[in-house]
Amino acid sequence: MKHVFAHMAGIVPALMLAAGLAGAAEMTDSEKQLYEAAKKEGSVTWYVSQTTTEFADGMCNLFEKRYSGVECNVVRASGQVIFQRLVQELQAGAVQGDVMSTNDDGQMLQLKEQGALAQYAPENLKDMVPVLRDMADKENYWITSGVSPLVIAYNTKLVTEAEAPKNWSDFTDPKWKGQVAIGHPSFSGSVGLWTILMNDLYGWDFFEKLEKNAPQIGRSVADGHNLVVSGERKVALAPLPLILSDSILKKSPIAVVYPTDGALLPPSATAIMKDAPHPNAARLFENFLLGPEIAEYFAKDYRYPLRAGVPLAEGMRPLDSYTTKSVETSEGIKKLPEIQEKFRDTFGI
Amino acid sequence: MTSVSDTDAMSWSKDEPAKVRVPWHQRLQPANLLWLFLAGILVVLIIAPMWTLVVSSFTDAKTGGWTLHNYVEAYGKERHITALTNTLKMGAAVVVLKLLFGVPLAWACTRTDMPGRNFVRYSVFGAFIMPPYLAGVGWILLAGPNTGWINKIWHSLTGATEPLVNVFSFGGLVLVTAIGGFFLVFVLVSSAFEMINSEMEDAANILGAGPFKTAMKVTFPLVMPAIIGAALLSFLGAIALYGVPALISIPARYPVVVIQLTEFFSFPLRLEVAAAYSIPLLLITAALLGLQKLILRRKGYVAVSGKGGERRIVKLGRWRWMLFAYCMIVVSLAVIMPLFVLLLAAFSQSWTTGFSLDNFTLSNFHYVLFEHSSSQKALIGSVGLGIAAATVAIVLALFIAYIVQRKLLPFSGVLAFLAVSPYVVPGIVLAIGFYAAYALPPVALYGTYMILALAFITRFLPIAFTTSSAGVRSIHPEMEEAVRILGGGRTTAIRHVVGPLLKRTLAGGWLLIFVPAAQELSTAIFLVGPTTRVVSVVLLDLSEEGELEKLAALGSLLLIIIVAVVALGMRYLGRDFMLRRS
Amino acid sequence: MDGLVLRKLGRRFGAVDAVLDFDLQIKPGEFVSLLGPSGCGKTTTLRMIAGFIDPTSGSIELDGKILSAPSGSVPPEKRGMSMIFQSYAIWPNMTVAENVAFGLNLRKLPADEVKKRVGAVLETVRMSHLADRYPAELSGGQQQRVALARAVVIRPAVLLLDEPLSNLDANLREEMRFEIKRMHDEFKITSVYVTHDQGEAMVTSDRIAVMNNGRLEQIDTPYALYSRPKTRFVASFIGRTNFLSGNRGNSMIDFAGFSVPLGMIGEEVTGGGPITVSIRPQAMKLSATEIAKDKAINLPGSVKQSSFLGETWDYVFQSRDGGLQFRVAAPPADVFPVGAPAWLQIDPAQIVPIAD
Repeated sequence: MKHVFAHMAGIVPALMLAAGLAGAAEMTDSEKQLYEAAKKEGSVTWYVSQTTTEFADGMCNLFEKRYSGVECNVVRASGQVIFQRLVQELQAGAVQGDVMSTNDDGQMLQLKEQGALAQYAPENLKDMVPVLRDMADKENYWITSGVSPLVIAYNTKLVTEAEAPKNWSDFTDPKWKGQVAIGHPSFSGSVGLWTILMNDLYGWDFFEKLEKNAPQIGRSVADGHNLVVSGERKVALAPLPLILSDSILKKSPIAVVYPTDGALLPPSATAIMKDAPHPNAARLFENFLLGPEIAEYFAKDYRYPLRAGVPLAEGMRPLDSYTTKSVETSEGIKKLPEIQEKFRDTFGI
Repeated sequence: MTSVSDTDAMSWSKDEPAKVRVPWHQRLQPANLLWLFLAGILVVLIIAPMWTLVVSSFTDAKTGGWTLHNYVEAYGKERHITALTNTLKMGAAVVVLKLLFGVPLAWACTRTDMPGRNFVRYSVFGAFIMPPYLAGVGWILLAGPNTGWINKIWHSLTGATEPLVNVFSFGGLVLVTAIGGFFLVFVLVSSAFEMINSEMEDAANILGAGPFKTAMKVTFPLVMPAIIGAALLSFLGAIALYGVPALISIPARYPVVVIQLTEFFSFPLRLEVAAAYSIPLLLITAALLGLQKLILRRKGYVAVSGKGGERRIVKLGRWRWMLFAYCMIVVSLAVIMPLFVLLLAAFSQSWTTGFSLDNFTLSNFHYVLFEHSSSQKALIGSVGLGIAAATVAIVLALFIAYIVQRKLLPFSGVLAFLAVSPYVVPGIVLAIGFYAAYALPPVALYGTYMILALAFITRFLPIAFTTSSAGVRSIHPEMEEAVRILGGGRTTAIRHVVGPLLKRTLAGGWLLIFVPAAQELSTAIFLVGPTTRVVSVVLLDLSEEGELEKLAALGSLLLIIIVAVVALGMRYLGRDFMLRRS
Repeated sequence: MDGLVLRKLGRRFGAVDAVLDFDLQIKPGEFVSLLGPSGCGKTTTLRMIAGFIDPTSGSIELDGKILSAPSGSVPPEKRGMSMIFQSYAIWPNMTVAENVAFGLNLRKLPADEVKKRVGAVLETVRMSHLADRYPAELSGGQQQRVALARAVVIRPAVLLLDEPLSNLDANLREEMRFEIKRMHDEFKITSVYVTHDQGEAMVTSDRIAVMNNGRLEQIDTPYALYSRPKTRFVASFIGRTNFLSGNRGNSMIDFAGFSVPLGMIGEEVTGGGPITVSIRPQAMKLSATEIAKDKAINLPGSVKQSSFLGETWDYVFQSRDGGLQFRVAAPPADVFPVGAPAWLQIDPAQIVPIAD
């Protein structure tokens, strides 16, 4: 008898939780409509370079849990590769991807101009963090699906908080000679934007001074972070989520400085293909990206949730608590080639 | 003049010989059709991509018309030309270093009484198995200017602020590239050393030359053809390598061709310019090959043939240990140090924190094996591609080598040339050619394992061909004629005689292809798509995500698999495969 | 007609005629050798018979069926022939028994029949005890016997042998020579044997075809070749001989220092004018005195050189009238010191006119 009660006692919280979840599974009307239509379509194919495969798989799993009967397929590759794939599918007139998520919104602009994207304003847009929502396409051809701010990282074993640089222009301070690490605008999209930003703020002079500090230039935007963690360099340009997760989870000796002249916000963009084979599932999915489950998922990974009102991870500062800067999409595309050239001329690589 | 007539009246011979009508299907044997089919395969694998590459280089991307603009863009900038000259310089330096590594070690292991010869041999082989990218990562951990272990030790010993070694430099680039490829020098030169008859050295000794002088004046010059051949291979391998420059070239601010090509292949994709940029590279390698042929022919080297006669060991006396020390230095640089550091990282939570029990973890392996779908797919993909490339290349090469050696077709020499020609093409350029020819519609192989497999087969066909050629050459044609006269066709001859006799040679060639194919990066980097995975590219991705520990774990797993396959192969072929002449 | 027929067979490589205008008819069961120096075209001819090379002119027929012609040839595997190669070509990856059984298996004979025949032929070549050995474990002679067994067991229409004994040492060669002859006597397979060794050809062959520079010089039985050579080449290639130049008149042939009535010479000599004859060293005798004029030709002279070879004397005799030099083979008992005067007796029946 005692067993049964204990057993039932165990079930009750589970039931309550289920009820709570059931509450969460309540859908809006338009959502229900989309869901029914999506179920008929059966699946959605998501081309993603915005995150790692594992992270994307996790997002897909959450989608399938909420919308059972609609399969979610991840096709993940690095930015240029995924973009190439889509371009070829468009050329061949055989588009297989429904939704595309990339870290390079310049790609989205190109696709939009080609007429390859569908216009759609998901329901959940209204609950988005405003600054993030406003970085997207004004005509609703794509939404912001994430942001990975570029900030300053420093090694806590080798540099005290007081000594650490306060803003980007501190990078040119001779005391950091041989101790700075940055990325390369030809190999990393977000570094390209950062380079444009620095040029806008300080002119190319910034980079010529920086060159005298002999910075280590890496191919990937994560290289700087690695170098700081190992102590190979003391300060670096690095992506915020990486720094936070490393320092908190792995207890690595790395810390963040939110530069006073502005952390760069390179937006990740998501769009629906106009000729998507599963248009309703695609809309359902894009809307889901802006929903609460994904927001919590992001927060756990030290990413900024897209939805307003979702608590941040421990140690994360809210977006509106520090200076942020972004580069408008078409401007970025226009300025990038010249910036890349100048960079190569200055740094010789 | 007396005319002689046979006692037998030969009146029958005055008749006209009767006309023979041999039906066409008897002339066009099934075997002949097969040979033509193979030639067709070669066209697909080699001619089409290369032709498309050349055509692309002259094609305007927007209009599709003919233009020289790609060449202007490719070579109009000084920086691009610098990349080319840098590459040549790097190649030359790498060749010197590989020879410095490979030749003395080969001599030590085959001709002297140096202690630990087998250990050195196996270690050199280990350098072959180690993927160059992985070794590069290991060396970064060792020789990063501020935190590389070597520099840390140096700093704690001497208190110096300047690092002892900096891997992010021209020297670092050359060193890491050299340790990846000197195995080939070792093998080629070893074979040549083992062919030398000791009597030639005896002659020098009698005249008063000590062991080293004899080595310098007699032995080494005799193996000069092998050294030249190995030097050429080293150069070609060095300039085409992608993995190491990807790691080191950019931080070292030393632009090289492969990085430049990557730039053309990035955003925006400029395929035609990449093609134009590659062509001179092709021309240079072709010129070098021609030069090699010229040098060797004019010097009139007699191919060292036969059993090599008596081969005695050179006694080194107290120099044995010096030589051993040198060998150990080389082996440490190439294998032991990077491997050690990598294994350490693989078992660490965070490699920067160094040894400690609470840093030890199996989670990286767990992640790679059970959680990271890319790794799982990549391991299967790489091993699968390795097996596919090795098998198809060997079989294809065997048939072609057979046609060429037995002169079955009038243009068989052309087939031989084609089969070896991918040699001349750096892996990355080959990938661009394949991309240009097959990635886009109508063939539309982009993002498939098929295009990777095709490119790999082409890349390794030259190795397969030279191995098969040597094998077929070693079989007396009368062996097959004996089959034919007894009633069997050519295919019967191959099945029952040629194939079985060549089993060991072919298996050896198979392994020689499997090992590099499973690690191949340069050819794969442009050809992987969203759903295809190979370990080498996943390693790159992991490094971009900052996951060095997981990278080390995945790399170690691939290494273990390759070692297992090789161990199996060596059991089948005998212990001495690849390390001694069979 | 039956048998192997080579009809005006020719093969040209580039500008060179390796074989030209070769006529040969081999009767069923006959053993014919192609004999000649290196480069005479014998191996090329053999390989054309086998079908490995196509003729550029002429044809090859077997039992009335055309096998080879410039327009096309039956491939080797369909000729029903068999061959023993100079290198033996025994397959190292198969045992002796498997080697021998190979041709039978290709003909899809039932397994027990194969076993029976293999056993029988191995018995014949005395290799039964080595049936399960691999070629690497065999000596040269043993490998040769395996090659022989393998070739013969399928009962070919024609057996071709390409200098099979040239890789063996002298003793083995003699032994194998008789072995081959024995096999031929037993199985009576039509055989074509290529060699440069006249001793081999003589011992084994029913007829020998002497080849030189791609042409057939003469084909005859061994004895006829020896005693009645038709050309200078044949005369000097087979055994040793003396060549004499003379002039044919109405009833005599005049040589330097002597003449021979036409009736005494065995062959019919047609045509007048200059003539060359061949006289074997064994066709002459040295004697201290002159002997009957009507039975032999007597020439006075002296011995210029002498060598003793154990079984014969090798003398060089110079005639007094005319100063002709002759090599003479004499039995051991006929001792003539150098410088000694002597009479040379020539058997006129063994004077052979030859075509130059």
